[in-house]
Amino acid sequence: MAEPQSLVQQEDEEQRRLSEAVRIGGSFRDPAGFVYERDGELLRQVNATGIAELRALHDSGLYAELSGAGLLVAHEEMPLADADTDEAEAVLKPERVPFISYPYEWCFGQLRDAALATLEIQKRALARGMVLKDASAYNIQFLRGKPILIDSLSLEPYKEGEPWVAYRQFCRHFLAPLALMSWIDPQLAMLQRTSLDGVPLALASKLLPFKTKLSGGLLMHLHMHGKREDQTATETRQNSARVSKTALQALVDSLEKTIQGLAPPGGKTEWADYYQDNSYTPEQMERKRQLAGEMLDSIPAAKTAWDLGANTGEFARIAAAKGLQTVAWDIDSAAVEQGYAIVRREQIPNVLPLRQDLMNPSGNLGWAEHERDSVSARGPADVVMALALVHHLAIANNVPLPQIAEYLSHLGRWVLIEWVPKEDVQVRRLLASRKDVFAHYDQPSFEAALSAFFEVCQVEPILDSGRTLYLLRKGG
Amino acid sequence: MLFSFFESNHPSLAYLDGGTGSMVFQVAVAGILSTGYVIRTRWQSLKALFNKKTKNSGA
Repeated sequence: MAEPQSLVQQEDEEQRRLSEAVRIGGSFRDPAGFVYERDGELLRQVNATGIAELRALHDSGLYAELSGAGLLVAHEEMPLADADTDEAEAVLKPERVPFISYPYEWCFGQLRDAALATLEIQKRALARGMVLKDASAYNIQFLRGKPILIDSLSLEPYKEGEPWVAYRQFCRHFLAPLALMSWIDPQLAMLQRTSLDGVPLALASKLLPFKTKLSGGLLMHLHMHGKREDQTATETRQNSARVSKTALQALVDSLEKTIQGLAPPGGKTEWADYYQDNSYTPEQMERKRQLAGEMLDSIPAAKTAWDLGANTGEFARIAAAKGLQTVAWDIDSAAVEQGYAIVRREQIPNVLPLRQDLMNPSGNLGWAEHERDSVSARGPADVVMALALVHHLAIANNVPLPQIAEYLSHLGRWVLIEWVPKEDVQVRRLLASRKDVFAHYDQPSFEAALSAFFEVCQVEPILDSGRTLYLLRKGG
Repeated sequence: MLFSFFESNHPSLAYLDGGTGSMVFQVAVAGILSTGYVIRTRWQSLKALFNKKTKNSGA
């Protein structure tokens, strides 16, 4: 490692150091290390307090086991010269997750799988003398369709008798929101947007119905825990706070059973019958699929796609089949739930269904408004699909067509958009109980709005449906 | 003051605030759960051993 360096090598190192490292906004709490980006590379610096953890992670065999099982991102060690600051004792290059998503964007199934993955990691860690030192839902991301721990420094050597410091965080980040989504309504996932460190247990306890106190796990880990979460304890009580390894394993086992016992939120999506109703005849639907496929094929060098208003992800999966890393956004929790169930069942690695309301997308949140990134900050995508969407924005939400065009131009380099005319059955449904104030909602105005931001490359009517598909390239 | 006592007995370098109330509560809960857990896991390994035996001695 400490070979004498040639002049050329020294100059190369200087060059690397000169290019600026940008610290990732959410990576600041742990003194053991942090994550940053340089020249498009994601790197993790390990400081003095983290180096023992890292060695233990490898020496215990836990790294090999977890990364082999797809539970922890793999990493390679990099030269120390790649570090950001002088405190560094090691530099890691972790496998990069193609798209960062947040727990408040996940459906019940995704949060549940992330919770169970966290507990599985904890079980395996304990078996090898290690333990999770935190249990934040933000340490889990979806890679190739499955939840994975992205923070290699979350694991530290286990000290016999020590209580699990992350128990409270696990209950707030995972158990509380899952219980609320299961027992009350999946829309309560939104509470995670305002409480970035998980849902306060006392709040969850107040909101949950009395019946949940009949479940041992929820009674203990949410209701009773919630009463005691903010209490302080005397010094003697704290000194004698001891939890044996078996007791800790029992705790983890109980949390696992409690989560597995939560029923997925019921209820059909508002749009469940969308593809069954009379929006399209089978021939029209087939033509739309064909056209979408052809338009996607004609986009050069496309790697990423966002499907806005993806519903259960039918068209997102068309993009994915062409090799695009696809995010399928929809406002409806049940649609995202179904979309996730489909990609898990069919093992589709490159579609990530997420819940998002385009009228109120998640913004830059957290410390310094930079800890969690907004939707547009995580873009743009190579191609944005806005199928059967424009009338929801323009009619249902009164957004002027030029503003829709402008926002889309921030989100994607290419756009596949479907024009839905006022005569369409869906639009008539939207206008059924309100005044038609949309004098400018027509195809010429639509095209004019788009032309201000895009070059119109293709225009294809979907047979005789009245709807038209457009392929647009940014820079009109 | 309270926290420093904790640190001296539990020299974990964990940055996370586990919450003193939560930590003390955990002791009670984990203790209650461990009895049932031990019984269940011992029973399961006993069952597995028994199944192996009947398999060996069976037809």
